[in-house]
Amino acid sequence: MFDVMRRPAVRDNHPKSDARRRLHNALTQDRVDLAPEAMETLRRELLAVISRYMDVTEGFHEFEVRRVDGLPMLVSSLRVRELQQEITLR
Amino acid sequence: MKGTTIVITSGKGGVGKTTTTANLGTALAMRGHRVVVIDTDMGLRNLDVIMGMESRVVYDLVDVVEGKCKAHQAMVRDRHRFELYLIPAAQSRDKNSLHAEQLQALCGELENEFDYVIVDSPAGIDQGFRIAISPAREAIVVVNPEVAAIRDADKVIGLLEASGLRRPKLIINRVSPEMVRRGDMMGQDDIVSLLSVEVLGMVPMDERLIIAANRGVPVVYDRKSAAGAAFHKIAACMDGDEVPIAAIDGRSGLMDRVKGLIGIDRSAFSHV
Repeated sequence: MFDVMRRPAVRDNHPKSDARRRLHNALTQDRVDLAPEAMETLRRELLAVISRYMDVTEGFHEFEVRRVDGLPMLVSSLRVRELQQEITLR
Repeated sequence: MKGTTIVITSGKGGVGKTTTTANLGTALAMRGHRVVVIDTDMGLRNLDVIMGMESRVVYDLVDVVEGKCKAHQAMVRDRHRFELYLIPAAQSRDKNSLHAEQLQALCGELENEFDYVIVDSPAGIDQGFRIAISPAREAIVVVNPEVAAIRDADKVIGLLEASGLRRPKLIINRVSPEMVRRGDMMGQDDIVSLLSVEVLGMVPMDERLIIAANRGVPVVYDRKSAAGAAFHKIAACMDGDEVPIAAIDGRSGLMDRVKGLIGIDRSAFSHV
């Protein structure tokens, strides 16, 4: 669902990964009082807006509500495709 | 020197708050500190039986705050003659018999005399919890490596931070190193990435802890107990010693055990 869950460190076939994934959703929901579906819609809409300005085909690398210095923060990072200038020059 | 009031809390019940309070209190006292532990779980008094002091309880916390006795009259002293005292919860009174201001005043007074004032909070996040955290300068959240406990811990961490107790620390209790190694149980990294708080220590599942509780002797007195060694490490950490948390991720080995034997543990046991 969220891209953050596909981090390589988490191997999906382990029972603990289920716990982590499910908790990740539950905690996000608890922290911002936003249902997982609403969070997913937000993610998609944000991506749509940003993609009008830059190439973001890979989607969010990270998109979650995390506690930073005691405050809930929406933390997201997005891989932006570099311009293919070199190829054009050749 | 003024002491510190620390609250031990968890949200979810049954994760080991009382066991943690008893063992950290005892381990800190074994390190030469003056320690008082306070049970604030009104009507569900347990810290006295875990510490084996139940037969010597005369007065309780409510008697103290209501002025029926002096704080010292309610304190039960540890049998091993460490500077370790318990103020028991009131067993026949309900949660309305203690107010935040009363507990704050008492802890403030005790801080003048003790290095550590450790408050064992009741489970839940309602009134009893709010009263228990009110006098604290620091908070320790006890959690088990399972979904319900972690979700509740997250809620509690949010509440602690909202009430000014920034940076609560985590104790992960009942860890099975073998299950963590197999990927069947969340480990320290998983829990830290979910909760974003500092881990103070990990305590392994340990049958000797059940035996210790049956006898009313905190497991930190048991030299063979892995859980006991973990609590000694946490106490050393609280004292500012550099102690690696590792030891429990399934990869720990000889070196940690050697360190445990020759280091903190021996000094801790030398009084016994």
